[in-house]
Amino acid sequence: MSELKEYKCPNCSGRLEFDTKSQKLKCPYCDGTFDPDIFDDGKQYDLNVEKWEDADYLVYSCKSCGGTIMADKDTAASKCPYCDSPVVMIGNVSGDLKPKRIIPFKYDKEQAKEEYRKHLKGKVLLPKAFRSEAAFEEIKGIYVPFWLFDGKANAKMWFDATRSHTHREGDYEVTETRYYKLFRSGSIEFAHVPVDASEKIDDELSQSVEPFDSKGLKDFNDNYLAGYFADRYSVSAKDSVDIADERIMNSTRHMFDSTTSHYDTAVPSASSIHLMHGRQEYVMYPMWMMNVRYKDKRYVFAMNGQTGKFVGDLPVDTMKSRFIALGVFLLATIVVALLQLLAIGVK
Amino acid sequence: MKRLFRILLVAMLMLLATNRINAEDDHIILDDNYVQDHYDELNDDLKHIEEDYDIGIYFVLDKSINDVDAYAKSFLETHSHATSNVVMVVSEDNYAIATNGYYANDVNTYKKQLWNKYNDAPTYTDGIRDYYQAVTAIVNANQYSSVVPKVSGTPSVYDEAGLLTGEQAKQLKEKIDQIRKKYGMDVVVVTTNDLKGAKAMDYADDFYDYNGYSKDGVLMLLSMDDRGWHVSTKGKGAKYFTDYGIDVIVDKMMSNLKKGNFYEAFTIFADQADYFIDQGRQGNIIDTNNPVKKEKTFGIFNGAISAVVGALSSLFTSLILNGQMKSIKMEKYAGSYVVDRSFVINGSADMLVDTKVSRHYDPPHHESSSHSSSGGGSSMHTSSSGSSHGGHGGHF
Repeated sequence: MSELKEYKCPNCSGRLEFDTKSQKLKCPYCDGTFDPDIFDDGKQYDLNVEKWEDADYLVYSCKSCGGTIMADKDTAASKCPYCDSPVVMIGNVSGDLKPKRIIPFKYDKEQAKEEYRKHLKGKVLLPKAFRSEAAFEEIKGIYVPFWLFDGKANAKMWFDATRSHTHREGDYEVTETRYYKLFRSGSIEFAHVPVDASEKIDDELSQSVEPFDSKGLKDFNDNYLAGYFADRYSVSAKDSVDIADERIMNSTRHMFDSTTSHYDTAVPSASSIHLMHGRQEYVMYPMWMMNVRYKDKRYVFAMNGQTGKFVGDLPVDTMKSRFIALGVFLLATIVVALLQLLAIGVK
Repeated sequence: MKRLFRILLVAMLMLLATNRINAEDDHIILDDNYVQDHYDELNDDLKHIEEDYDIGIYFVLDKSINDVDAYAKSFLETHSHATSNVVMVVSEDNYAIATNGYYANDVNTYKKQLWNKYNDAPTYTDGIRDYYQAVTAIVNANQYSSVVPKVSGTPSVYDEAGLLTGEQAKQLKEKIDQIRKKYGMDVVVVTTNDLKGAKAMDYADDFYDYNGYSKDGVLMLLSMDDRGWHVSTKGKGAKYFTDYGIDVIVDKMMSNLKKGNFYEAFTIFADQADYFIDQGRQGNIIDTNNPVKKEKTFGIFNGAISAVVGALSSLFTSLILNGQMKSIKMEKYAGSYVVDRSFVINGSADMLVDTKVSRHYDPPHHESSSHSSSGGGSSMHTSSSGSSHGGHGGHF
């Protein structure tokens, strides 16, 4: 638990970090790169951990500069706030706490900032001052712990459906409605349904940057964590599986419903869905997290570290919003009125 | 010279004689076998009868006539100087009686009797006299007391109710006079405060028939006692002013009628009459299959549509622009994590459990269809004078 690992370049003792472009551990000084699956020269230290009054906080001393690294019991990877040296708390990623696999970061900090700028583009209702005044409080690349669940849904569903047809018979309009009872039975397999295992990261946030492509998963090696932040799981698999089950059930109902699309109406009348749980896996997924402060409010942004999908709620300039609403109303009203006048005038 | 003078005198006398036979005010016309002079007394008698009873009684005897019916009809057309007229045309062994006016129906009833009166008499003079005395008897027995005022000079405007000022009446009269002259048809505007118990339709028809208007025309009557309007049409008037057309015209007049702007209303009537007759003459009779294009104006309804579309546009735009600003939400589904081709349906059944049929009566609308091949036309009726009139009425 009190073991820290640092990553030093064997050639020049420079600080190694995982480089997204090369997908290797890279030394910023001598440009040396090392395969993260193989590199084994990271140094481990036995360090004294000081506990603060609040037992949630742990304090470490940076080996490179002596600075204070703040962490908590869940912290698995961090950086020295003074000298930027990456450290990994080995205890939190070993033994039972070792993730099976990890998706390494594909996007770096610069790219994250670029995606942020792109995110602001074209947002008509964004207050003009936001772009210039909003200040980054924090930009962190975090490996978020996830539980991945496999499952198979066996379902039987019944629907009440109708189909109508209308035709003319002389002076009458005849409508014939046929009522059906539909039965569907089948199965769907789901793989790697992710559930956020960190208490610190809002589920809403991590779900918004989905989907993650599980094909990008690599066997876990702590080398990937160098230069990033990471936490071990704080929500157990047992407490996570229900969330995955609900999503699977919803998708199952939705997909069975789509088999009735050739009817005019179809309403589920009864269903019996049985979930068979398959494997579960503990992994780490990359996410960029950003805090931005604007007019005394904090705005949170997140980006999928693998796909680049960027999300974050933005403030609305209410004056501008009302102004545009009024403007569109007036413009549309006038245009429609003019069109009608034109139609009346042309004979 | 004296010889020449004698020839001239004979020629003039002969001319006079021929004129004598064909004098226009002769009520008795005989062919060459008869001496016209003997019937002078009867002619005078008939002239007096015409003055007293307002009925022109005629008698024609001419063995050369083949089609007595046709002759009688065409004779009346050129000899209808009184309001009512009768002619008996006698040929070899044929006779025909044609009549118009007040007493038309009654005379028609007694045709055979009139013939008998003539035929049974011993002499031509007696026969003719018996004939016209019988007609006079019919007239006396059936004195038509129509409530409509007798008006001379077939005026374009007869404003008994005093709805127009002197100046307005004059202007309206001038306008309508021009129209009548232009088309050779009669257009009349009549107002009254008292229908005197008659139905508006009868009043309008009778006013037209008994005041000497021509066989083609249209009359607009306003009766203030029941706030009613009635349009009466005759001949080409009935053809050019269909039931639909009359409604169109009155529709245009209605707001003025309701407000009491009678001059404006009648002016509209006159203008419309002009237009309708003009169109009718060109073969474009205004009817359901050739309707008057509705004059559309920008009204409240149009304003409402504009506002609604405006509001919807604004709402739609707002939703989109605000939607742009939110990107964080819970994910309900796991669709991205479905294993390829793992969705298998191994059992399905679609069972028909019930069939319901509902019928909805929805006949095609003739009135609103502008593609029907024939129009509504004009509904006709026979007035008291025996002539065929079109038109209808309503209230304001």
